[in-house]
Amino acid sequence: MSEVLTINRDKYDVAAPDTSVKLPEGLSEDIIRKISKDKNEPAWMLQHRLHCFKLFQKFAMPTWGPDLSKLDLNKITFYAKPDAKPNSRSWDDVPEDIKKTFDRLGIPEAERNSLAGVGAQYESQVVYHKLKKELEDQGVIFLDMDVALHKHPKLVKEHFMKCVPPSLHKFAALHGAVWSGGTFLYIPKGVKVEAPLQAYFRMNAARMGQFEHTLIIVEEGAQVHYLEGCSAPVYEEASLHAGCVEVFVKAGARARYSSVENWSKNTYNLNTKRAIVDENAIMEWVNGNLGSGITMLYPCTVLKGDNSKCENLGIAFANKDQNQDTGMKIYHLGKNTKSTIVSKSISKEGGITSYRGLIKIAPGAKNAKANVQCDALMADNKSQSITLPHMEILEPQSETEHEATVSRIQDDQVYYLMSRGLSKQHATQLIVSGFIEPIVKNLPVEYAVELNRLIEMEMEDTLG
Amino acid sequence: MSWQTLPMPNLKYGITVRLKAEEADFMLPPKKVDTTPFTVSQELPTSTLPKTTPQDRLEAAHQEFLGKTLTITVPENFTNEKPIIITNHANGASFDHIHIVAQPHSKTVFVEESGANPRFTKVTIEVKENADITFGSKHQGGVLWAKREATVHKGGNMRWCDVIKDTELAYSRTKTILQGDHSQTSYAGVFVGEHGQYDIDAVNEHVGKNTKSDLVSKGVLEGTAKAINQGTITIQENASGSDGYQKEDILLLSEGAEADAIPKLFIRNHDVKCSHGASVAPVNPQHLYYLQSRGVGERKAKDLIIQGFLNTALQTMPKELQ
Repeated sequence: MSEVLTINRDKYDVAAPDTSVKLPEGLSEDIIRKISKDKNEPAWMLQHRLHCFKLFQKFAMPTWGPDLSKLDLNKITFYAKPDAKPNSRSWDDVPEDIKKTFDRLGIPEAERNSLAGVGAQYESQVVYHKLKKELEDQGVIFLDMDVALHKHPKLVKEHFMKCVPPSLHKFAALHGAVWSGGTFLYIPKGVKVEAPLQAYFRMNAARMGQFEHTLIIVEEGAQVHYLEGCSAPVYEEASLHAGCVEVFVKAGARARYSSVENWSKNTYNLNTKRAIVDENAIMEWVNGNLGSGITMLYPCTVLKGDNSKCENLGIAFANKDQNQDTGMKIYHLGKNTKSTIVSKSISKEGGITSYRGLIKIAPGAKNAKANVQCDALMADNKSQSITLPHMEILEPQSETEHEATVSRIQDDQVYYLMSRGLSKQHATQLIVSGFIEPIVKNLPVEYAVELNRLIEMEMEDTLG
Repeated sequence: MSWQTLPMPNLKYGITVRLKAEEADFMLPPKKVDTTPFTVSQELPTSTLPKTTPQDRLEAAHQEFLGKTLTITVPENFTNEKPIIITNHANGASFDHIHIVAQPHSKTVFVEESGANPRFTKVTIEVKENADITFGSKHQGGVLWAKREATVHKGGNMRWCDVIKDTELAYSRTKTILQGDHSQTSYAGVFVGEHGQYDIDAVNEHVGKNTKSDLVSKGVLEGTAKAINQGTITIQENASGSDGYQKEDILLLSEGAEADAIPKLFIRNHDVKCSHGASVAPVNPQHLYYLQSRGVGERKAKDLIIQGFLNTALQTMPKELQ
């Protein structure tokens, strides 16, 4: 198995020398004050952090889903600052080892490939942020979250953790207490950003926590596609990722958020993502979850305005010792709201994939329509596939449909392709590619290639 | 240990959704349990009642106030032409347990009739090699608490038919364990009501190889009726070649009607064919319009659509239940 791990993740698993400045392990009020002081934050943010910390202490660990008993929060470093000038505008200003890591991840290449802007987060700070000039001129703001807090205090205060309240669950509260870095993205009224904007997050040090905060505000009639990639190298000790993504999609706007999360396999990925969608607006989520030992991630959309819509596409891949517990939550509040969910999962070598979703149609959400399709592919006998959808329908004038299938990689399909001259491995990969195609085709080409390649690598040792 | 020490089952709308507090009090503990014995339309030998451990307070109450039992053995190779009718003559509260052992190669249809209220009933069935058992029940009005469980051995077949109409509170749990290779089961459930709470759960667990399960559940909710419809297919590690299917459909006919649909799959073997579907929707206005354009009145058209909707499940049941 270790061999497979090396093949899979060579590009991500290499840790650069750890030269960062870290606060001690564990969490206390003192550490939170230090984080806030180090960032020179306004008083309200420190108050917010302390309030979240109280909630965090009050909340119990979740009693459902994957086992979190091995996650020792006292062993996690909650804040680390890499040895670099924050927010370099030129790639040359970034220190050599950090640059090398990102080179390996292909970030400048991605930028050259005409992505509209790139932000890269290394540990807790954003080291590189750039936005094409014409977008800046149109009033688009694409900043490190920490910088945005200082430069756009009113906008941040108005929206920060208003979509994902810290009272939502223990890890949202934890995030609120120790968040650092992330992306602030503001698209002014009517501005349509054609090319996708991209950020990359990476944990380098062992036993790190990464708590980046992504806040996206898409004003009326505006349009954006934001992409995130996430990774961490392999260490003996477990790391924790408890990020938060908040998306405000105002009337008539359209937002797409795509992410490929490929954290190392001893990372706990306990991430919270939520969007609030106003009238006639559209929210699209594309989620790929490949890495992490345990993932608990349920992107949520609140269809607040009439005629609002959301589309969700998700892929989860669980290999040996992985538990991918994902699913989408949709709240239909407005009239004529519409949601579709397509979820694909693949499990192998004892991996567990779960779809844990919720469709709630609130009273008064007349003519709401929800459609869920979950397909699971199982590569072998040791793996598990779990489907747990919940449909709570409180408005009779609405339509909800759910369908799910679970199947194996069909021998006859493999043999057919082999009879046409393909190797068994190639045939299997082709079938898997076909299985995930509906989702991959919705990603920009660089991400689609990367996702396909990652899954190919994960499938490499599957020979029946 | 007192039966009251166990926790209540998790009822979304509480036990008193339609019952006045004093009626709920009446239920637990009951003032008087009617112990008039069951009658069976055809005489059969007896079997031994199995011991069970209660999981929650209602099940413990069932055990505490158990007033009558019926134990049946269906002899080897026995087949009957007509359904065997089990009649519960209780007028008031009935706390009962029916246990059936179907010996190899027997084939029998049981249909249960009861007017008891509240009714707390447990059914346990053992389906031996290549035996084929149908157990049908129909409940109308009042309070129903039903827990039914079957174990199916090699080549056996267990069919459940569960019809629930206009109850105040219906709590129905059906579980089938497909223990033997090539065993199979089907569950057809129908619930129709204008008020009250319908908490229905059917679980099919595949343990043996090449096992097959089929689950169809249809609900029609009018007025203020609420439903929580769960269903589970579990495929265990060694159940290769298994085939599981599950479908839950609910029609919501008026404001105030609410439904939770929770179909679940737990798959631990990759050599399976497994799928499920669920839908919650009002009567399709296009279907209604079509019938009305052919001269059918609105109420009549609605009834026709509802009947068609329920027939998918009803037509597989013994005619006594339809």
